Formats: sequence, C-alpha cells, structure tokens
Amino acid sequence: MNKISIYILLILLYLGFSKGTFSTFKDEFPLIANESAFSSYFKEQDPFSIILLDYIETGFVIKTYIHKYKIIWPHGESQIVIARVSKEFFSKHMDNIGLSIFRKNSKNEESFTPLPPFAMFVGDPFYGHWSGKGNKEWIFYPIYSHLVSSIGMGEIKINWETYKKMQIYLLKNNPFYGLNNEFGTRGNLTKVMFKDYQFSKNIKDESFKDVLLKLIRNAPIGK
Amino acid sequence: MNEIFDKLLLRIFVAFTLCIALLVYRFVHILLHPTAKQHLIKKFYPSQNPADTLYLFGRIVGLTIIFSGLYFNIENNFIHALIVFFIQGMAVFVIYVVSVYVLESITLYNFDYSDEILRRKNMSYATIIFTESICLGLIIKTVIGVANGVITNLLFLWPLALVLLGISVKLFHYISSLPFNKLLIRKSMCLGFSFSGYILGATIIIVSSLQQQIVSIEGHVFQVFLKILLSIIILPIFLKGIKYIFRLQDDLLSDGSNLDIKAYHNFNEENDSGNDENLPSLGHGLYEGGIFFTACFLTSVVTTHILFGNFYPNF
Repeated sequence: MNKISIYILLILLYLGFSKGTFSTFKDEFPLIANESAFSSYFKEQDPFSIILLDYIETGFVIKTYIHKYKIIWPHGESQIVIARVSKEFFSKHMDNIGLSIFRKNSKNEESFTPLPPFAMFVGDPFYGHWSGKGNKEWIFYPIYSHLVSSIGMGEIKINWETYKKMQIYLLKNNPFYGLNNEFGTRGNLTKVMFKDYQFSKNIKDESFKDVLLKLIRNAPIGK
Repeated sequence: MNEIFDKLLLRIFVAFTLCIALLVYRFVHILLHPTAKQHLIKKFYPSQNPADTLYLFGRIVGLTIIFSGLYFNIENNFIHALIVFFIQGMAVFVIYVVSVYVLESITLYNFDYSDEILRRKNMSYATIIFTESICLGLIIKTVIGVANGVITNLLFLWPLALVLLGISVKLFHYISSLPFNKLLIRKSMCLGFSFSGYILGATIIIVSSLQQQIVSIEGHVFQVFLKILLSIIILPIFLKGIKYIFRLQDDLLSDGSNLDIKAYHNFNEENDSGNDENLPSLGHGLYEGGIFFTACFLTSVVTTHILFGNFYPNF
C-alpha cells in the first residue's frame, strides 16, 4: 500500500510541476462552458458579435476542446480569441463555423442563435440601409465599411430575401445556414470568408496511405 | 592527391596525440592510487591478475568514451587546435579523476584497491569499478556535449550529474535484496552483475535526462528533475511488465522457498563455512542487473523518443 501511495504522489508531483513547464495551452485561454460564459468574459458595454472561426479537439485519452473566435466590435478593431470549451458546447457548434454564435446589441440584449456573421448589423438602420427595389441589397454606411472585411463579406451582397428568412429562423431560435446552405461548417462561402484564420491550415493531416508510402519511399533497401 | 595524403598524416598525428593523452592519464592515475605506485610503473601482464586487467581497462574505456565527445577543429590553425585539445584534455582528466574519486568514495568506501585487486584479485570489485568507469565516461561525455563549450554550464552540470549518480548508487539497497558489503567481501559475481546492471540503467536515465538544450541553467535543472521524475513513474511499468511477460521468478534462495531477507542479512560469518554454496547464484545477479538495465533502456525510449509535434498544437 505504501508503494502505491508513493507512486501516486510521484505522479501528482510530476503533473503539478509539469503544468507550468510543458503546458501547451497557456493559462490565459479562458474556459467557455456555454454561451452564458460569453457575457461574463466580455464585460464591455459596447455591442459585439462573436463569430466561430474554427475548432479543434486535441488529446489522446483526456480530450481538450478549443474554439477560435473573432469578436467583431462595430466601433473598434476586431479581436481573435482562443478559448477552451466544454465537450457539450463543442458538440453543439460543430456545424456552425463561420456563424455568429453570440450577439449583444446596444440595448444589452443577448442572442445565442447561430446566424450568419452579418446577423447583428444587417437590418439595423444604425449601420446601413437597404438599397434598390424588390430584392433589395444591404449597404453599410461608410463609417462602418470596415465591417465588410471584419465579417469576411468581401464582394458578397446580402439581399432582402436572405434577411427575411434569417429573421424567421431567429424567431424560432433555429440556426440559419443561408438560403442555399452557403454558411456554416460545410458552407462554400465560409471556406472563402475565413480560410486564413483556421487551425487546419497549420496542422497537416496525413492519411494512413500517405504514411505508408512515405515509409516505403524512404526505406534504404529495395527502393 | 596532396590533400588526401596530408589529411591522412594529420589523422595519424592526432592518433599519436591521443596516445600521449592516454600516457599522461597513466601518470595521473597514479595520483589516485599512491600505494600502488610501484605496481603501476612496472610492466603490466594481463593474465597474471584478471581483476587488475578489468580494473585498468575500465578506466581506459571510461576515458576514451569521454574523448569520443571531443572534436579537433583545425579549420583555422593546427597548433591552435592542438592547444585547445590539450586544454580540453587536461580539463577532461581532472573532471574524470575527481569524478572517479567521488564515486568510489560513495560506493566502495570500505574497500581499498591494493587489498581487493592486487592481493585478493576480487573480480566482483573489478567488475563494479569497470562499470562505474564506463558510466562516468558516458555521463561526463553528455555533460560536455550539453555544456557546449560554456564553462559555467559545465561547472554546474557536472556536479549535478555526479549528485544524481551518487544518489542512484545509494538507492541500490532499496532496489536489490543483495547485501552489498558482505557479498563484495565474498567476491560474489552475483553482486558484480547486479550492481553493474543497476548502475548502467541509472546512467541511461541520467544521460537521457541531461540531454536537453540549455536555455537557462535553472530551467535546465528543472527539466532534468522533471524528466527523472517521469522516468521513475514509467520504470516500474517495465520492471513489472518484463517479469510478467517472461514469467521471471525471483528465486534468491536456491531451495525455492519464500525469501527470508532478514535471515539472509543476519548471515553470521562465524557460522559461515566459507564455501560458495552460501552465496546467491550468478543467475540471480544477471537477472537483477539485466532486468533493471532493460527496463531503464525502455524507459529512456518512452521519455525521449516520443515526438509530439503538432499533436498538441501551439497557438
């Protein structure tokens, strides 16, 4: 029994001392257990929108779930935040890359429905106006033109039809992936809008076949 | 063609330089054993005393292991390279001789070279010295490599490595059930092999822990201790695993009864008939030494050969 106690003590000592030395995830990564943690972490009074840029699951037995967010401040520069999240929160948002998963408006009203990244700004007369007739298009005011690049819109235009559909989904509290599912993890627009921010760019994922071929090609005998 | 021949001549010259270094060591060796001075100056006949032969070659091999870590850089000037090599060689001698003295003071403080080697021809003693010399050679070579020519690093890492090795030596009686002093007096090769395997295994762990890049001394020392702690955690898995996989049984008493270590340690020399039947079997020493050495080797694979890469991404 003594030996077991000493062994457990050694393991605890090792884990304790390693935490500061070998820890891959810095202490400043906040833990976001669920959406309600956003308001406690971001205490600013200004309205903001949180866009989920990417996620990653690491670890062999003990898993760690990481989210990467872009915080869009209409009156300031956007901010990239990496956070550890709970397994449930991670699973909940697996289809929501590129979507705004949290919004707080000027009236301090919070919204948790996953919607396209422009959800908070389009339709609000404070940020722009509708132009044209019939299927109108949204135009930002020049002072908020920086939002176009912040939310990754580029040349993409938001039309009235998309906006109306989005409002219906918002009322029902359902995620909205666009009229043709162009937003979200599998959306073709998402791949264009946020490709520079994603983790997967930096992490090479080799198939088992590639690994075997590499082994055979590098073999010194019988090449 | 001139260049190739010139290079060959240079290599032959360096070979003679190394021989001169060994010659210098022979006289430095006398400092360690002033009582055996006459013996060391005379011609050496290896067949006369195998224990002495083993002892001497342990020292030589240990020293040559350290020399294998030195480099002869003649890029700028051959004479400068020779002077630098001479200085490095002297430093190596001092470090090696002091290390040997310190380690033998810890391990074999009850024993004397003239007594055990020259008079009693104790092969067990010689085996232990042989292994300790090789272990010191490996450790000092690693320390010199890690220090990378920085004197302050060397002066810090070398005592650290000696302390770690000294602690390992002292822990032998917790790992092995063999009474060290009693069996060494009885020239038991069982002890020789058991201790040799143990100290070699401990050396492998110390060397693998020391082999890390130095950013700062404090950080490096911390990393060394952390790696040793990790090795201590992993080691029992292999110790138990190897015994279980190969169904090895610890049969210290030849009649197969349960070990009564206290009775064995209370072995009374007055009752001892002096024959080898009372000594543990050679196989037991090989078993203890072999299993510890193997487990340490495998532990060093786990602690140093796992490359995490991007498995845990850095952001």
